[in-house]
Amino acid sequence: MSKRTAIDADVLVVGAGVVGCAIARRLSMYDMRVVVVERRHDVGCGAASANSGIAASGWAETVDSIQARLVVDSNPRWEELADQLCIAYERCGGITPIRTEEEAELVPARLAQAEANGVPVRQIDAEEVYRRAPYITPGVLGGLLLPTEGIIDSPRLTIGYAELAALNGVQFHFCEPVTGARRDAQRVLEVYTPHLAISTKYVVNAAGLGADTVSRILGCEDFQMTARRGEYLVLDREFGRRLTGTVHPMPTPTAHGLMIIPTVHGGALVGPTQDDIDDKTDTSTHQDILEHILEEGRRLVPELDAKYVIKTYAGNRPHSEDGLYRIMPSEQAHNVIQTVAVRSVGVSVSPALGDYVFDLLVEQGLRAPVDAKALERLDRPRSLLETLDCKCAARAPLGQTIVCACEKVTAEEIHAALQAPLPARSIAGIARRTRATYGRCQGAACGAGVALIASLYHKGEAWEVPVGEPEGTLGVGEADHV
Amino acid sequence: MSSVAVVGSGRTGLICAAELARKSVNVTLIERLPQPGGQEPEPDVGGLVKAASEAGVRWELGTMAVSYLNGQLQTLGVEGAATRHFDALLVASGCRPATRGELGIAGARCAGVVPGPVALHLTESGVLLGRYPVILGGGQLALECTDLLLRAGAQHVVVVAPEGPQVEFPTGVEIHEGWMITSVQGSLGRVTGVTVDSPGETITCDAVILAFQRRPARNIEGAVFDGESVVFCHSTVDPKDEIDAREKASAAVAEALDVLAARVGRAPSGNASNTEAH
Repeated sequence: MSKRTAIDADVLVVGAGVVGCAIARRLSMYDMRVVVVERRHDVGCGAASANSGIAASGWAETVDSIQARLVVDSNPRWEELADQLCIAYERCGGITPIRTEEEAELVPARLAQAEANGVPVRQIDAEEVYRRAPYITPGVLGGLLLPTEGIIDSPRLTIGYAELAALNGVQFHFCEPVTGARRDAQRVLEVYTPHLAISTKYVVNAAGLGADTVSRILGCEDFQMTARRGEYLVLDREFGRRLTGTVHPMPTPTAHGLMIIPTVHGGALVGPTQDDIDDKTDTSTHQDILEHILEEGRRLVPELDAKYVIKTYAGNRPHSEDGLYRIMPSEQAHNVIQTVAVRSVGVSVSPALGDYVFDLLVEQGLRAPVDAKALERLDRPRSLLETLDCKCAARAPLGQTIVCACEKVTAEEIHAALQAPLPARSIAGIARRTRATYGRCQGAACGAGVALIASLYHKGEAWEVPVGEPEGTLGVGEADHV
Repeated sequence: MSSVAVVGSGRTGLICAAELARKSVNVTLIERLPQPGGQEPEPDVGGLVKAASEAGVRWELGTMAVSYLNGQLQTLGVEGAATRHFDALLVASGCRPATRGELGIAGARCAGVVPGPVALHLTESGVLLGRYPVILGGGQLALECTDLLLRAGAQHVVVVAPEGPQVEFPTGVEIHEGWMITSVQGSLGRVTGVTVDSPGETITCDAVILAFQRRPARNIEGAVFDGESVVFCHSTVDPKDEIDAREKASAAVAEALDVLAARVGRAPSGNASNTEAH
C-alpha cells in the first residue's frame, strides 16, 4: 500500500449518495473545509439513482417520526430547489384508488394519519377519480387525492447537490472506502481510506447500505443494514403520456406497495417490489418478479402492457434491521453524526435533511462562518429535449449533433457532462447526467458514439473506459487490426 | 392534396416515397444523414433516389424527425426546429436488434452486454469486446459480429440462435439452436456468464452481443407504435433481401393510402386534427 495523502477537514462526509451530497451542499455554504469520500466511482451509484423518482408528500409515514418530519418539511421546498439545481421536478399529485371494502375501511385511519403528519389528503368519489385519472382500473369505490406528491429526476438531484457543493469548494474523493479510523475515548480524530488519511473535526456517516460497516470502523453504534431490493419496469412515453399523476395502492402497515409513477421525462415507472437480500451490491432483476410487477400494476392501471417496457432495474434501499432511522449524534463519539437507514425516503427527505444535520453539527460545537461567496444555484443550459419539450422550438440551437436519437441528447451535452465540476467518470455516469442510452433502443444506435466520446476524456486506451465501476471496462483489450 | 412524411431514405423508404408520390400524394422524405440512402446504402439506392426525385418527392436531408403528435411533425435539422402538419407518417427508419428489456433478459446490469451495432462500431474502432463472447441471434448481424470479433482477436465464439441459424457461420463457432438467454451473470465489473433456456445451464463468457431479431427503430415521440395515421415499414427477413423490401414497401404504401382515404372520408377539407398548430 502506497503512502496515504494527508488531508485536513472540518467535516468529513462518508458517502456520496443523495443524503451525503445534500449535506455536502448545505455545508458548502459556509467557510470551512468539507471533504466527501465515496466507495464507488461517482456520486449517486446506489439507491440515490435507482429509486421511484418521487418527491413524496409524507402522508403515509409514521406519525411523529423523524422521517415524517423531514419529508413534510422538505415537500414545500421542491420547486425552489429544482430551480436552483436545474433539475426537472413536477408537483403532479397522486391518487390512491379505493378498490375494495377492505381498503375503504382503512380510509379513516389513513386520513387521520395524513392530518397528523400535516399533509393535505382529500377523499374523492369515483367520478372524480376517473375525471382526474381515467386510466385507473374500473369499478373503484372512490379514492384519496394526494395533491402534494411530486416527481423528480433523482439521479440529477444527487448530481446537482454534488456539483453545487464542488463549485463551492467541497472536495470529493471517489473509489475511497473507509478502511480505518483513529480515535480517543470521545471523538474520532482521523479516518483512513486506501489513499487518504483525513484528520477531521466532525464526521457524518451517510454511507447508506455501508453505514453499519462505517459505524463499526469509527467505533460507534453496532447495527446491521440490509439491502431491501426493489425491482422496477421503465415504460415508454407512449404509456407515460397518459398519466397525470402518481397512482399508489392503499398502504398497509408493512409496505407502501407497488406504484405507477410518471417520470419527469414523460415515461413511467412501475415498482418497487420489496425483497431483503444478503448481497448489498446485487442489483440484478428477475423475470418472475418482473411479470409479477406487470400483473400487480395492471390492477391499478389495466392498460399497462409488456410492449411498453423499455428496461428493468433494481435498487437496494438501505434498511436497518431494527427498522430505526438514526439521524442523530453518535453516543460513542461526540463528533460523529449518524444519518442512517433513510430507507425509501432518501430523495424525499434530502432538502430538509441538510439543514437538520447542519443544526446537529452546530449543536455539537461546529463553528460555521457563512461564506459570502458561496453559490446558491447551478447554471446549466437546458438540454435539447427540455428545449423541444417546452415549445420554444424556435430557439432550438443550430448545428448540434444528436447522438442519442431516442432521448435527443446532443454531443455537446455529452461533452459537457465529461467536463462538469464533477465530471462523469463512466458511461453510466454520462447516462445519469444526460439520459443518453436511456431510451427505447437502450443504446443500440448511440452506445458506440457515447463510448467513443467518453474515450476522448479517458487517460488510458479506449477499451479501458469504465462502463460503471472501474473494473467493468468497455472491452477486454485492444482489437487486432480489422 | 394529401401529405405524407416518409422518415428514412433507405431502400424501403425510397420505394414507399416514390410510389406514394406517383399516386398524387405530396411526399416529403426526411433523412437524418446529409445524403439519401440510409446508414448502409444498398447497391440499388442510386436508381431509387432518381426514381423518387422524378416522382416529385421533396427531400429534407440532414433532418431528424423528433415527434408526431396530433398530426404535427416536429423536425430538427440544420436550420433548427420546425413543426408542420402531415396527414400521415410513414416510418422507414430501419431496424435494430431487440433489447434486453424487450427480450426479458433478467440478471445483473454489468459491463460487457452490448447491442450488435455497437459491437461492430466499437470493434472497428479498436476495442476488443470479449475473448469468449456469446452472440445472441442467428442472422446477418450475428454473423457479422462473429466474423469481426474472430478477426479482432476473440478465441472462441458461442452463438445462441433461438430461431436457428439463418446464415452459415464459420466452422469452429459453437452454435446452440433453439436456446435463449434468460439471465446475465456478473457483479459490479464485467459479465461472467449467461444462463440459457433450455437447458437452463450457464455459459461462461466475457461479453454478450445482442444481435437477435430486427425491430424497427422507434424513436419518434408519438409514433413509437403503429397508430391511426402512423405506418411502419421495415424488412423483417434476416438477411435482408430486395424482394422482401419491395413487398413490405407495397404493403406500407397501401396502408398509408388507406389512412389518407379514411381521413378524407372524415374531414373533406382536411385539417380536422390540426387545431393546436402554430
